[in-house]
Amino acid sequence: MIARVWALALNTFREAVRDRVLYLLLVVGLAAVGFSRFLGEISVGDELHVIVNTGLTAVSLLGVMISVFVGTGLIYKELDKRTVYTILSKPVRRGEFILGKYLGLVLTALVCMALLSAGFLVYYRVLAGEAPMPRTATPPSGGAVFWHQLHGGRITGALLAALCFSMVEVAVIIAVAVMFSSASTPILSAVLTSVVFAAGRLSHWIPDFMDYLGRIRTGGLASQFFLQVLYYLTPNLSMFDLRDPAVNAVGLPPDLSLRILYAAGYAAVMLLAATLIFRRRRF
Amino acid sequence: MNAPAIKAVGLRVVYRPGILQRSRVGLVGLDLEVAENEVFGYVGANGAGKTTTIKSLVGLLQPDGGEAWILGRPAAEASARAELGYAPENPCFYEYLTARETLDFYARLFGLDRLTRRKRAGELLERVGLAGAADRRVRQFSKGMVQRLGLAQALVNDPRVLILDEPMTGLDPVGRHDVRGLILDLKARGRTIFFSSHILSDVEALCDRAAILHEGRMVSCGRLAELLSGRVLAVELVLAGVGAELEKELAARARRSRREGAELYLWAADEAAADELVRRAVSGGAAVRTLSRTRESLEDHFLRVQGQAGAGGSGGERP
Repeated sequence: MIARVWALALNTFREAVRDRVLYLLLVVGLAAVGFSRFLGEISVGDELHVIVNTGLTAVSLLGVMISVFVGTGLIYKELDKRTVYTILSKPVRRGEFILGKYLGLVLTALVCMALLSAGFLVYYRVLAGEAPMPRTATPPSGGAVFWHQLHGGRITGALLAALCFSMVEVAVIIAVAVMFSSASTPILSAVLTSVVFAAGRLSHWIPDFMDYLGRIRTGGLASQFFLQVLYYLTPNLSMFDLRDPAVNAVGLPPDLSLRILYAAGYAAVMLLAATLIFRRRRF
Repeated sequence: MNAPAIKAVGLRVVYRPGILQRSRVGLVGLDLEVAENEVFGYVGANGAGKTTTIKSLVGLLQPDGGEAWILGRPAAEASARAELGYAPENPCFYEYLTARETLDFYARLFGLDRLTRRKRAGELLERVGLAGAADRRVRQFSKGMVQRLGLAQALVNDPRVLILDEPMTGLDPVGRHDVRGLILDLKARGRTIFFSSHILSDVEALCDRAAILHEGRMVSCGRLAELLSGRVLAVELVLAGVGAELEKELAARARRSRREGAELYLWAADEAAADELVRRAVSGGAAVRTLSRTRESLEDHFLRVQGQAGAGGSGGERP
C-alpha cells in the first residue's frame, strides 16, 4: 500500500512542480516578503513586528493559494483527462488514490512554503534590522560590518513554530480541497474551499458571537443551531495561527501537540469523506 | 480445477444520467466465462455494452447487479487486478512524463523494484515499437504511439489476463499487424486475452471464441468454428462459353449473376440449386471454370444475429 501511495504522491508532486502557476505564486510571495520592509519603515518603531507579520502572512497565503488553485482541480483533472482509467485498473484502492493525490499536493505546498520561509528568514535575519553602523574612532573591519548586518531580527522558536503551523493549516485546507474536488468541478470546489477557509479563520469568534446574540436577546433557535453546526463543521484554523507568540514574544501555547492531532483528525475525516464519494463514482 | 480467467454472472448496469433524464440500460444480466489461455473476442455495435462490460471487469464501474471474477477473485477487489492488464480504448497519460517514466510509474503501482522496473520498461518499449521514443514526452506522441504505449502499460506487470478495449483503434496497418503478432505471442505464452473490436476480420483471425453483444445482452457466444459452422450462404459458379440464350436461362435460375468478359459468374442459393445449374450449363455446351461455397463470415454472423435480436425486440429495458 505504501509503495502505491508513494508512487501516486510522487507523481502528483512532479505534476504540480511543472505547473507555472506555482512559480508565479512563489514570486508573489517573495515580493510580499520584500515589501514587508517598506511596510516596516512606515510603521513607527514597530519595524520588525510588521516584517514578521507580513512574512508569516505571505507564507500562509502561498499555501492557501496552492490549496485553492491546484488542490481543487486535483481529482477532477484525473477524471476529465481520463488518466484515472489506467490507474484504478491497477491494484490501487480508491482510498489509496485519494491519499496519494493528497500527500503529493501537501508535499508540493510544503516545499514551496519551506522555500518562501527560508527566503523570509534570511531576509529577516540579514537585512531587516539593518541600521547605521555606530561611529567609532577607527573604521570598522569587514567582519564587524558583517556581524552588524546579522543583527537583524532574531529567529526565535516561536517564529519557527508559527511557520510550521502555517504548514499544518495548509495540510488541513488541502484535505478540504481534495474532498470538494472528488465531488464537484474545480470552480465550485475553489469557491467552497475558500468559504471553508474564511469560515475556519473566523470560527473561533462564533461562541463569542452566540453569547452576544444571547445577551442582546436577538436571533432565534434556528440561527443558534446554524451557528453551532457551522462551529463544529468548519475547521478551527485559528488554532494554527501562532503569529501572536512569534511577533509579540508572549510564549507558545502549551497544547501544540493537541493542535496537531486536531489537524490530523480533521484532515483524516475530509479524506475519508473524499474516499466515500469517490468510491461511488463510475468511470 | 482452475478458476476461469474471467467470469461474470448476471451483470447488470443501469446508467442514471440525472434526475430528470431517462435511465439507460448498459448491461442486462450478462453471463460470461473465459477460460485460461483463450483469446476471446467481444463484438457489438456502438453502445452495445462492450466497454461497460470491460469497465465492470477491471473495477472502474460497480455494476448494479451480478458479480464478476478475475482468476477466481471478485473483480471489485483491488487484489483481483494484480494479475490483470487493461488497455482502454483511447488511453490517456500524463503528458509531462516520457514514455519510460510513464511505464516506471505504472510499474511502481505493482510494487516492482527499481531494477525490474527499468528492465521491464525497456523491454516493453522495444516490444511495442517505441524504443526510439522512450525519452520523449507523451505530449509529443501521435495517436498511434499513445495506443502502443497503452498496450505497453497493460503489460507492465506481465499479467496472466489481458483485457483490451478496441486495441486496433488509431493504429496504421503496420501497427495492427504488430498488435496481432503481440496477441498471438501472448497466447503462445499461456496468457488469456479478452478484447473488444469493431474489426471483425481481426476477431476472426485471432480468437478461439467470440461473443456478440446487442443492447446489453449477449446474443451469440461460442467457438468461432461452431458459430460459423459450415453455414453455406451461397455457391459461386464461374462458367465459360455461355451463349446469350443459355445465359438468360441460367441467370433466371440463379440467385444472382454477373458477366465479366468471357466468363459468367452465377450464385446459387444452395448446393442442390448449384448442381442444377451445373447440369444445365454443361448440357448447354458451357465449361465450368470454378465452383466454390461461400461460407458465413463473422461479419455475416454478426449482422444476422444482430438483425434477429433487433427483430425479436430484445431492446434494453427501461426501468
